[in-house]
Amino acid sequence: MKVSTRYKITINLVAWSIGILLFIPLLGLVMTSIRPFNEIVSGWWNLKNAHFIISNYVSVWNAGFWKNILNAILIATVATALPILAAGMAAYGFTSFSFPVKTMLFLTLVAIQVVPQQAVIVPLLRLFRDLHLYDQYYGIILVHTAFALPWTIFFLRNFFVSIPKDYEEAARIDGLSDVGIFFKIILPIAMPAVISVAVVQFIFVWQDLFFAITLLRPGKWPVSAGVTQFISRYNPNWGQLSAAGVLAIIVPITVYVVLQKYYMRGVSGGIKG
Amino acid sequence: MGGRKEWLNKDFFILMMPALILLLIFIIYPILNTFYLGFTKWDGFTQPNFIGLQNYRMMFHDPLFWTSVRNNLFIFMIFLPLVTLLGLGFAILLHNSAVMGRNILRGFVMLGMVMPLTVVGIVWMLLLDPNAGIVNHILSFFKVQPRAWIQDPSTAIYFVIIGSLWAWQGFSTTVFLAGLEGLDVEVLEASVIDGANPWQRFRYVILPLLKPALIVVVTMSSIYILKVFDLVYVLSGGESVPMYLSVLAYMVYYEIFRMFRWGYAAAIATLLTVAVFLFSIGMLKRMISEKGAGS
Repeated sequence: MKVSTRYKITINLVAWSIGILLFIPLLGLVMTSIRPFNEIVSGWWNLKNAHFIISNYVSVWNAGFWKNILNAILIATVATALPILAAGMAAYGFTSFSFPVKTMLFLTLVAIQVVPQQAVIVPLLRLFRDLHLYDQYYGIILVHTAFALPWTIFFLRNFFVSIPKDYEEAARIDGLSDVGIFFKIILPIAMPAVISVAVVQFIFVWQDLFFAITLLRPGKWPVSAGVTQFISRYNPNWGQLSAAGVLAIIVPITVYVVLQKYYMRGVSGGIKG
Repeated sequence: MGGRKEWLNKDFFILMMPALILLLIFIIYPILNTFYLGFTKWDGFTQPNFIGLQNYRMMFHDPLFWTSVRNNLFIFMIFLPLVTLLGLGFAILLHNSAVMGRNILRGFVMLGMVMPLTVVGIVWMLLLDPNAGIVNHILSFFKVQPRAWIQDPSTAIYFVIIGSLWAWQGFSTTVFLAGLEGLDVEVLEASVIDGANPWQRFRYVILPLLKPALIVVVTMSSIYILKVFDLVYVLSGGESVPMYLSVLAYMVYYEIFRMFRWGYAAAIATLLTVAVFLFSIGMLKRMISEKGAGS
């Protein structure tokens, strides 16, 4: 189909105006983080006599924010690897076995996909106290793992059913067990689906605030919770606040940019099937 | 398909056990327990005391509860139509091959979605600030008086709405975009040959085909906004948030950590969970029928 030049210019103008509008918030955050306080107050977009500084980053870093970053990396990485293993195994169990209560289990999984975190928090706090999981990295990691299972099981199961049975049968003739087949045959073939799940889950855990502030003390807080310590309702130190904000999003934005294709597939496929 | 193998063997249990145990301990048992604890009076330390429906009766007379419900509803009513329309609009633009640099634009759309909502909150606190904010600056061109949007009780709630929109339109755009990319090209071409104009094509051909995507967007967005918490928490700055800004998810947190009324918190959490389920029933039913429970 041929399109006129005028149409092309108009639609690009519309699309890019919206795009820039969506980008301005981030630009504001970055600009605020690299300018002195007196210049921020007269507007970060004001480029007359602009000075650029990194002292906000230094003071945020020295205030201990590097620890929040390490916490976030640790929690998000492990809470991404574990559900992939556990969900992958269960998804394979689902595709290759029939067993009693399978339908019931399937329905349960569908239903608990949408459970809000608040639905479990009261008993969870008691459980964490009794099992000494409170303020432990592995405590929150196990909870994130459990919450990831329903949708990751579906996502991986949908991929597994598309793998031809011949692979499995060949492996079985070679004497591999079901567990062996999963790790040596299925998991490697399913890598694209695994990466999609990994990106979505990693970013999701990175963003989590509720479990972080309820299950951990501030010393183990990831960045999502750590940035709130720089907030002051009436007397904001914009420079430090925005520097912390920038430091908190570098990792997820990098992950997104590098693995964009997988992330999109994970977001639209996880719920669509 | 699948599922032909004998299940009573060691391998089956090795495969299923880790997931089942985690689900049981950290989700299924706690949900059922929350439901029970909603009928108790409990401070989190002593033993829970069964008090029947008293927590639910208390809710009825609690101004904080009604404020939270009203805020949840208000945010919901504005957020849901906007996020759906914005997502559909952006998806149509990003699907148009005449638009240049679509990958970069897609990145801009997704920005708010890949960062923690607490950072989204910081971003909008900055933009809406009475002195340093660009929103007041832009509005001054239209002769709108500068306002302290967040500090003013009558407008503070729009901070929650606009932050949620910026963060979540990336989701609705992605789902609609996936829907558009999955459209049958032949059907579209047939409608052109049949002489349908662009609007008719959109209204009678594309929109009906996008129904599955629309259901996902509306359901997931409803759940998302019912659970709104982070942007309210951000405004508290470590203290308690002003009462006029409370929402149900925040109230659960508040009753646990500030009031130590764990039984009451469990009752509110139960209510929130039921609300979320009611909104997701339609989509969940579709998921079940599409995938076939037994396969």
